[in-house]
Amino acid sequence: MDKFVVLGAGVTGMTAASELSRLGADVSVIEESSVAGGHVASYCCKATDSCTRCGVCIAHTKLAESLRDERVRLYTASKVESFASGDESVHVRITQRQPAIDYSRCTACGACLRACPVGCIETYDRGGFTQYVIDYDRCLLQTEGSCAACLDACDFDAISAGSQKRRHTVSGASVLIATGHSPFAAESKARYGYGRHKKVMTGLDAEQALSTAAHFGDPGEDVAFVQCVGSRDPVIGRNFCSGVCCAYALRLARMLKYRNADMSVTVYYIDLQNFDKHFTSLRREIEDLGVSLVRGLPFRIDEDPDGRLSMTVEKADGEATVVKHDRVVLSIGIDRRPDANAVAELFGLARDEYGFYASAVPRVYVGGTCRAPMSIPESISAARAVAAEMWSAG
Amino acid sequence: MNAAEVSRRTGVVLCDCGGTLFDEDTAESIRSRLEFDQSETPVLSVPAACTTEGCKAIRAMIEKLQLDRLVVAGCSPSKNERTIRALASEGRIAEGHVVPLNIRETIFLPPDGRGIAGAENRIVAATRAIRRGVRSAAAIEDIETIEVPVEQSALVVGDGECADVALCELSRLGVPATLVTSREAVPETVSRLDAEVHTGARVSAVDGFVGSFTVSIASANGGDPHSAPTECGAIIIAPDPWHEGAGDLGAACRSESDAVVGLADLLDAWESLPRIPRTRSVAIVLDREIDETKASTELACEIALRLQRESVCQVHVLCRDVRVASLHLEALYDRARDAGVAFVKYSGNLTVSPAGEEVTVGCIDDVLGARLELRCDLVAVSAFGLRREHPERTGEAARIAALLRVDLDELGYAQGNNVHLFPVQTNVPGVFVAGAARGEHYLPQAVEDAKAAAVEAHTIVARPVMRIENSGARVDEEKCAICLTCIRVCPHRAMRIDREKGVAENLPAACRKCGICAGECPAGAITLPVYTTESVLARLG
Repeated sequence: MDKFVVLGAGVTGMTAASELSRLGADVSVIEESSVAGGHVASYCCKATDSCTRCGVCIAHTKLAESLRDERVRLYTASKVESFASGDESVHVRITQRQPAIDYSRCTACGACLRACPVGCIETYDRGGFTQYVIDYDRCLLQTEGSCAACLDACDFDAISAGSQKRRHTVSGASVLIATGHSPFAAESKARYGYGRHKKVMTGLDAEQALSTAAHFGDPGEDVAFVQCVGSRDPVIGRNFCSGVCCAYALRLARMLKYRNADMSVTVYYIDLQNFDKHFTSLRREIEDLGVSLVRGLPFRIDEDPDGRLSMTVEKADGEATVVKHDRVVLSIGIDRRPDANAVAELFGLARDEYGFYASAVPRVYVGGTCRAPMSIPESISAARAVAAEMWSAG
Repeated sequence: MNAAEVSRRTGVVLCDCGGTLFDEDTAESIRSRLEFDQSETPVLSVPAACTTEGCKAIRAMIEKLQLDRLVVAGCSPSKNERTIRALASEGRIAEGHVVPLNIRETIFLPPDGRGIAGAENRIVAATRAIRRGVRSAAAIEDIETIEVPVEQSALVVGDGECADVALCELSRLGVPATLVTSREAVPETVSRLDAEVHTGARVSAVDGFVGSFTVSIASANGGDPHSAPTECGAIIIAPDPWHEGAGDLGAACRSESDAVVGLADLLDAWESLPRIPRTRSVAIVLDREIDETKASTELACEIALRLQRESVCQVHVLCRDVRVASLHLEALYDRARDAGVAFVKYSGNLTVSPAGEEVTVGCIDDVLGARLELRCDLVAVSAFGLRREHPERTGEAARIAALLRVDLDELGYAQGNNVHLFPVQTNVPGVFVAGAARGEHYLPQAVEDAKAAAVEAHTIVARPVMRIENSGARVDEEKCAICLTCIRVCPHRAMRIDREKGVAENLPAACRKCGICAGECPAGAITLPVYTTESVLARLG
């Protein structure tokens, strides 16, 4: 059978879908949110005067490519209701919230956006491909049961909004679970004060900020990055390295320092992971720029009356010192999604102690960050590899 | 009627995009301002060009009006790509003959977007863009679709698991494959495949381009090729991560002491490790000159754990950072420490000084902030922490990459700084790299690379012919002086000399139409049909 099902429209799911399509198959991709792209779609380019090979741009390219692929059928705003597996095929029943956009017909003219009476549709431009985010909490069709403004405005039959929900059954020879991850909830490291202290932010917040501005707050700020938040932490039951945090934090620190030569930037770490083939020279470049790399993590962060942050660090000899910074970026790692258990049960997935998946029944494959922490290029390789496996197995 | 006499028929498509772009009034307004003869160059409105209805309308337009050049006034070219590709694959119009104009995003978006303010201004701007587009289209040279035969097989070069996985994956995908390895024997998983395996062998010469490579295979210790050259459509370089990229241990250790060995030597002696004589204190040294990867940390932990548990000795692992960025590595690190292995994170210079039967390792302990001097019976230095600058490196993957003219960076890894080649492509179409050839030494990741490379190779060799447009570089025979500049500057190795004709020629299958050859040719003998000087200047107005 030349049909496959993919759960999750992030970089892994969409790359696998593209690859299966190239091999001649039809692919149905089920995505929970109203747009495809996953987390990668909100990451930014980390180049200064040179590329640091983070892979964000290639992920956006892959995403746009798969969205334009005729054989890839995307079901956005969809939730899995049930999963059944037979001798030769799998069937996934999904419920799709409405309105839902069919991107194979959408021309990105924006008519739906302009017609919406509550303005719950927003443009989402990634990799040169325009999608539309729908806020179902404000959408009148969802909240009041009737509204068809977007449906009526669309000249291309690209929106379905005839009812609040639509049911579909998608079938294929096998299914790839590529549901991805959730960023570690920084607030659970309560002593760091995320959510309480104004100038404590996460690496994701930092990424968003730097994609549109040269720095976070005031240009003269003293910024500290704290690594391993939610990773390499046996105390909270997360005794593994997420791998990607040293990669993004060092690149963001480099960007920040490059753009603001007078700004003080420090990175507090346990060990610096080797995330790039030119790591040694990249590290030297970052230090030459003036970024301080300091071994040793703080165990608490307090906010002073003047708004500065005091970080208490315990040194190897047991003595505690306090270092002060204006702003702290917590480098959060990869955690499982809130619905990870539900999805695992539906598809009979095995889980390790951290909640990462492994396939446990025939015709179900697992790929991407729901399987293990991995970077963007690693996800793309893994997606290709698993697509080939699915196709060969038939 | 010869080709020069057939006039180029250009048509203009005004994409109405559901009436939001070129609605009736706007279209009419534009038509009235266009100063060219619209019976010669028809201007037609079509439904949204990116939809099936739009595609149908454009198809009909091309057929009825006998068009061979098209200007599409619409939105982002990527949106209309599908329509244009479909029409091109039907043979109706060459992709290179289509000039896409992004009128919507650059002119017509509301003023708060990137558009131009004022309806009148927008119409003027759109008219100007269309006029330029038409002049540009007329200056594009004739392009045809050609068929390039493809050798439907792939070649894998490499020793070790990475190459074996690539071969197995190719086999599973149904691609006939050949393996060239310097190993004398291969595992059963490989030998039972329906693939041609050359053991004790190396690649001695390569010629050709994507779809038609010719590879000469010789014996691993030199000598002439022992069989006829092998033809293949794609090549995968998948070296052994355990050896590729290792530095020169002898030069760095500079000692005559038996007590200083390579970490790989300990791995080779795995079975008898616990019985190494006279060892009470062992030091494993990583990151000596350059930072190592998690592959080295994993190996060091495994060896240290075995020694610490099963023999009576104290093991120290000295590294700059403990690299554990893979799911189970933190647990392995914990097990090593629980067993009593001492990890020292050092900074600055690390010295290895033999003294009699002992060796003293000296460094600054980064955590304690103090100088450390360790007296050991045995010091194992990881060769991957030693710098070996290309081209002194003797790695086989680098040698073959050089033969293929794959760009290598200063460490000898392929792909340079071009992230768009990631994960497994190189600057040479048809040549792929996996694992250590691209700086990825961690075996599980190298294996994923190998599979991804096999999938890429399959893309190329799955069909017996490549149907491509001959929109690559064109060389004027009269002007070409065979100075070899184009051959030197082409990043994709898509130029070669036709010795009989005495002229440089372009290889359409490999050409990526980057235009560097056209720009660099001292005689101005090279043009790109889509980007002729006239067509580019016309676009600029």
